[in-house]
Amino acid sequence: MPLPQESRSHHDLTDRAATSTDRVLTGLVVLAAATCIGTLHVIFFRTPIEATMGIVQKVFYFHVPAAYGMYLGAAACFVGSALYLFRPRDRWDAVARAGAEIAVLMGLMVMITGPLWASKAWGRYWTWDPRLTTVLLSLLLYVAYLALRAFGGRGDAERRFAAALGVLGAANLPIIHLSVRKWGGQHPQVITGSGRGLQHPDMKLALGLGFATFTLLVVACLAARIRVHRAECRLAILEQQALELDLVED
Amino acid sequence: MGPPNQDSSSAYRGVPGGAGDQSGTLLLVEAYAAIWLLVFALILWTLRRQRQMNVRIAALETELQRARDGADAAQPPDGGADRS
Repeated sequence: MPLPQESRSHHDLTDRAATSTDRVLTGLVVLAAATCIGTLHVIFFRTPIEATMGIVQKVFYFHVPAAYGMYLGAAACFVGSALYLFRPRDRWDAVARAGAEIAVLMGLMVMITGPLWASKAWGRYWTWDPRLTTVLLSLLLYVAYLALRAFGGRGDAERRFAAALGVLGAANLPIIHLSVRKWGGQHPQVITGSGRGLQHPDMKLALGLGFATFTLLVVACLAARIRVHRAECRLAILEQQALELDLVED
Repeated sequence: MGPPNQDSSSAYRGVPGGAGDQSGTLLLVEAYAAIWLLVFALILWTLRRQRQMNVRIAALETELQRARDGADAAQPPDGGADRS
């Protein structure tokens, strides 16, 4: 039986919107890939090797933007969670969940690149420095959030609980930022606080490109993950309706 | 199939001083590129999953619409009220 005219035009509109979003997202991914290649080129073939630490300092152009990416993901998780608590909608839940995923992804990058640098600079991979400890705490919070979402069911109560965790998790972000100033520690301050900055223009360029690359990556990842989570919600609703009408088997 | 008694034992010997020939820059480029490739793999996997779900959603919507249309057609236009 053919679909009614109204339903077909609705399908067409949805298809067209999905196709244009696909195009934008694909363009974003291609742009991010091009920026990644450009950034790699500048970091390794243009930026000078740092005088004291040598080649290992180049981790900095990856480590700091990854930390910034973690902040972006955590901020998205906070905004989505707060909006979900205020007005429970699938879209806010999807934003919060995608934000937590990005925070974990970027947090893992920070936790891999940081100890690699520390091994060379401090002679050990890990120390219970205030900044390292607070970043680890944040990462574990977002891992807990994702574990809750993966194993805690899809009900509104679970979503609200996760949203509360998403809001509370953000409280640690300013503590990470201020921990070096308030409690000292070994973690260097280069571009914030009392840091003396990057002394070569190409170093500044490399860091700027790192930030641009990670911004594009985070936006692309966020957009893709939000769409997937919204589609999962829509699919779950449709499958429930189909089950009620005996269209599919349980 | 080769002869069963063929001796396949071998040994690896390092070139003296060979470890010093590894380029630190090349290793770092590889490490950076590998991590970025993983992120892009995640994005591409997400896009692929999205496409699969879109197909499933469209199929379910069509099925549901068809079932509802069928239910509407089965009902008399006056809602089944007996006028006789």
